Amino acid sequence: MKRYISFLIIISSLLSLTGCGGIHTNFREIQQLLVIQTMGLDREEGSVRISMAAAAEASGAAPRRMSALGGTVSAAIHRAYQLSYEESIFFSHVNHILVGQEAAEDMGPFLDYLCQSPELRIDIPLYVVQEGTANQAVMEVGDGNRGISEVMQAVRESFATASDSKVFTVADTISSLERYGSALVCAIRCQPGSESSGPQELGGSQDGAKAKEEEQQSSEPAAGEGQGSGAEGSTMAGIAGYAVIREGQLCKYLEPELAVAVGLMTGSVPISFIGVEDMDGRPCSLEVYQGSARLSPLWGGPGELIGLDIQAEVTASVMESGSSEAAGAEEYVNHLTGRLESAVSEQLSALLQSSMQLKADFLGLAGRVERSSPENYRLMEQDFAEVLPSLELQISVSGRLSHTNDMKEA
Amino acid sequence: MNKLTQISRRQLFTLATLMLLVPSLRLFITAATEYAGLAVWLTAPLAALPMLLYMHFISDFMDCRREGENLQELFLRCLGPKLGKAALALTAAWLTLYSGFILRSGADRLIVTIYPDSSPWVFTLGLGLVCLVAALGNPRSIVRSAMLISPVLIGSLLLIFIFSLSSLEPSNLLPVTVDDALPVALGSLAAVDVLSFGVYAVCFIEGLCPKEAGRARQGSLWLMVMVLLMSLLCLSVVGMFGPELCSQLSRPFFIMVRNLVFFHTVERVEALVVMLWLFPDFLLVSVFLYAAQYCLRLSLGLEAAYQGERLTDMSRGRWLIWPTALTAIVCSLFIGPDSVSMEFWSAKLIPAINLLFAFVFIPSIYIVGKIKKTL
Repeated sequence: MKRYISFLIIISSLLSLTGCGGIHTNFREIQQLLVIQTMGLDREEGSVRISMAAAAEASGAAPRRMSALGGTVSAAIHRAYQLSYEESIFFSHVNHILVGQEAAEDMGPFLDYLCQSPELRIDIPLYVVQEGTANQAVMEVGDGNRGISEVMQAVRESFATASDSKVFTVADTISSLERYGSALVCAIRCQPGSESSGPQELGGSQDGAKAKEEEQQSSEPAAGEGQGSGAEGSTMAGIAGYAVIREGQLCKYLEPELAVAVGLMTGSVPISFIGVEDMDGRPCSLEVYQGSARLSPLWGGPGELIGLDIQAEVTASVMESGSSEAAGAEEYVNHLTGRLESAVSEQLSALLQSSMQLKADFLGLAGRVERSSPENYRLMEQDFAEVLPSLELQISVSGRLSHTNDMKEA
Repeated sequence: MNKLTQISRRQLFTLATLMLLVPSLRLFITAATEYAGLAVWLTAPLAALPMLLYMHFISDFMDCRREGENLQELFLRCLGPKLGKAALALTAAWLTLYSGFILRSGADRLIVTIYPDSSPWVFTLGLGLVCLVAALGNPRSIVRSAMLISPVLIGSLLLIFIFSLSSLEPSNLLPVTVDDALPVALGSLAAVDVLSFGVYAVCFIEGLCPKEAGRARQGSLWLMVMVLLMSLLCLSVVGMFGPELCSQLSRPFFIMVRNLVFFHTVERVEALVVMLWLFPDFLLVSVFLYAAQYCLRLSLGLEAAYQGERLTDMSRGRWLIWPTALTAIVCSLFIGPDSVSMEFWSAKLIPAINLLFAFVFIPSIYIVGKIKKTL
């Protein structure tokens, strides 16, 4: 009995010491916390701008957002504390980190902060805002009821579109930069919420952003053309492919259409659509849902890497096809399979050519070569990134159409 | 044998397990990763062989003790009254310094993970005073606390390991080739450092155990379990982050815990786990304070064993427990005033002194004892 009582005392004493209990001064009621879900980082004339957004409120009120400027990330956060009427800003549940394009041109200090922060997790997905600022994304994206946090959650979870695949985290980025010197980060772009309403300029939104150059806190979504009650007219964030970070600096964007190739090379093939033409030249849509790629290094001698042989396998289904008399016939399926293989092969080739041209091993090819042939790899005299541009590429893709849905009835 | 303080050997090794967890999480992963890289998970198994030899050596040494004697009495017997007392004073200094360092390191862990911007003295003073009370009391109570808390700590470690499995990346652990032999050997020094600490630390209170045969066999089994535990730690932490990221993180284990999500619902449990680690700190400091004052009392020719005295009883040199504990607390206030200095203490100075103590100081005394035939 004494043992059980002692055990209970130990456990209860632990609970009181975790920083959540009332015996310490850092105790706060949850209503007093501003729980940040999305954090944006920008560089502005040598300073750092931090933008933060909470989730939408249960009452239907717009999510609270704020931004502040400081010499460093910590200074900007401190400034945000000063400007906040909230008793405490809570960073422990940040789910998305956005970095503006200008800030991404020197990500090192931001990554250092994210790595060292006692509050943030390091497996938070990281995004670069293409042709925009994180502040713009945080302050303007959404409508009256939803903010950037809800939109980013949808971006993260919607794996059914071509532009989505593996979401790279802060840890992935730091690890890849340390190991290979380069990394991939998902890119998003702020854009009008609906394409059907005709072309919209984001100038109004930018005006809205300018109006917020002074540190501010707002419980309203940003003013400007992006604001509205529905998707139409509101500003949204959509995935814009991938940003290539080399030695801590943004050096290129990859198109979202390369998602399958990126997925094949990083071991996480997303559900993606590939458009091909059938035998009659009509457009067809193939849904790629499975795939893998095997990489074999080609050695000219011990430690002399001369090429990479990539053998990929993809499985897709026919989602949409034109009505054709040959539909369902073996010849028709073979034709589509060939088109699929060709499309994936082109994607892989484009992706690897980008890596070779940039001398940036953002796909972690070196690691795969090393795992495939560790002895030879360690005999290499030059860095893998240096050898990369001169490598011969052999790409072969084996496609399979698993099912054709309702093609026969079409 | 004093029934009031008697413990079993199983209890002694349970205490050793919990004491060993302190340097395992503080030093082992980061230090071993620095040298061994991807192959870090092989460092603990590689350290097993030299550590088995060391365990046999220590067991052989401890088998020379008489009923109720600790390592301290063996020092006196081996070296004689004068040199023996000097050795005891040196041992007391090391144990007190180590206690101070653990108090400071524990405070640093709390500040970095839960209480940013806090002052370390609050934690060092608080834990130091609790350890003082433990050292003033029956040493058997310290061992019994270890028995109580060990299922919670080992259970939580296993749970963390199981939940980290899904995040393990084989590319963070492989490939390993013959070329890795030297880096792994260098990395295994960190494992040797930690394991040797666990092996000798409990010898300072082994007098509470009745003298029985089979110490080496039991110790070797315990050592194998510890090697397995340390390998699992490496696998989970380095498998999740990779060696490059691990070497950048000051406390990779606790950062891994911060990242874990249990059943897609429970997350951010690192505060609870960090608080759990207060118990190994408490046990280690309490045992070392008890052992340090024991050394001092022996060197003054006083009867040092606990005989049921009350906490306020200052007879037979028990007053020495107070200055020993206060010295440890004061040391903790001056150790590592900044992160660079703390890193030096944690990664260089303390491991180096520990290795010297384990592999030079204790064996030298043993050799002298054998030469003088006093063992």
